Amino acid sequence: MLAYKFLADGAVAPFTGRRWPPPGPRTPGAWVVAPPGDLERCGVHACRVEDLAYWLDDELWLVELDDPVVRTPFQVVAPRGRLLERITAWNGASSGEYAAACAWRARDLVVDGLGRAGLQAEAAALRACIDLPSLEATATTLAGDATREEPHGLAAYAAGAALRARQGRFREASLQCTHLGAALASSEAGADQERAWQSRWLARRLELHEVGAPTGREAFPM
Amino acid sequence: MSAAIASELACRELVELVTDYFEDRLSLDENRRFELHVCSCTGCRVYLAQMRAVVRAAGRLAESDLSAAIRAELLDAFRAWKRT
Repeated sequence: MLAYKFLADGAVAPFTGRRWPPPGPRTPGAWVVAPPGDLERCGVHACRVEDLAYWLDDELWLVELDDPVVRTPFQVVAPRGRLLERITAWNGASSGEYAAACAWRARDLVVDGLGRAGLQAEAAALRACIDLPSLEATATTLAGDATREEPHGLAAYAAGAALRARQGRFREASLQCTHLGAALASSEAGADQERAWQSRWLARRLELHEVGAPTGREAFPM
Repeated sequence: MSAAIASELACRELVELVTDYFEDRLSLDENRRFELHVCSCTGCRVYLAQMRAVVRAAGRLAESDLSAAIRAELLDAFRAWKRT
């Protein structure tokens, strides 16, 4: 099946440190074969579209996985895989956009929460922010010394996301938004909902398609 | 960054688990939580890379590579550590 895989700079697997063989102009990369052992633990891991936001890294690749592919929460695992092509739309610019999108998403969630709590003036102040510095400053002021369990204390997540987005730290901006989702829902389901939103954002921005289709020429013209 | 989600590892927990991670002693679920945390936390990514570098470098050392002075200094440090 086809899937996506995030790798560190230079096509390096983030956990094993292994460098994946790159594809040629019209040929896939060499197969990377998992060592013997439990497939879920030792296999080649990759993402479906809905898993993307959990595994962010410097580079995103389209990969081919050989059967049998095991579907687990957050990822898919196969006995071997190979790189087909790099998703060049995932780069410094789009990761910055992603971080900013997470910050604005956090702002919108906090605005909704403030509105539900009857804090209309505070919600309006956040809604009026036009850029990341003003969002960070306004949200920081709103949060003040409040705990993150209080409605205006939730603004700290938006402030944190805006700060990380300004710094280009897309992983942390995404995580702030995820934590906010959990806090608003008082459950991990809220966190998963936010990761799902983030994955949809990535798929839309990077023009990715659902994977799992049979491998073939339609995916990698030879 | 501290964990706001019950199943999520905090940075401090990751530091405590890193040896077990390297030695494949984490359960599948713990392993996944460990790696999910690393994907969300630049600080822990750096820490993991540093630890990997330490393991690589230290793995090449033999006991005989230590000078007598360094050996004595290390033994003193370990003895003092046990007393505290």
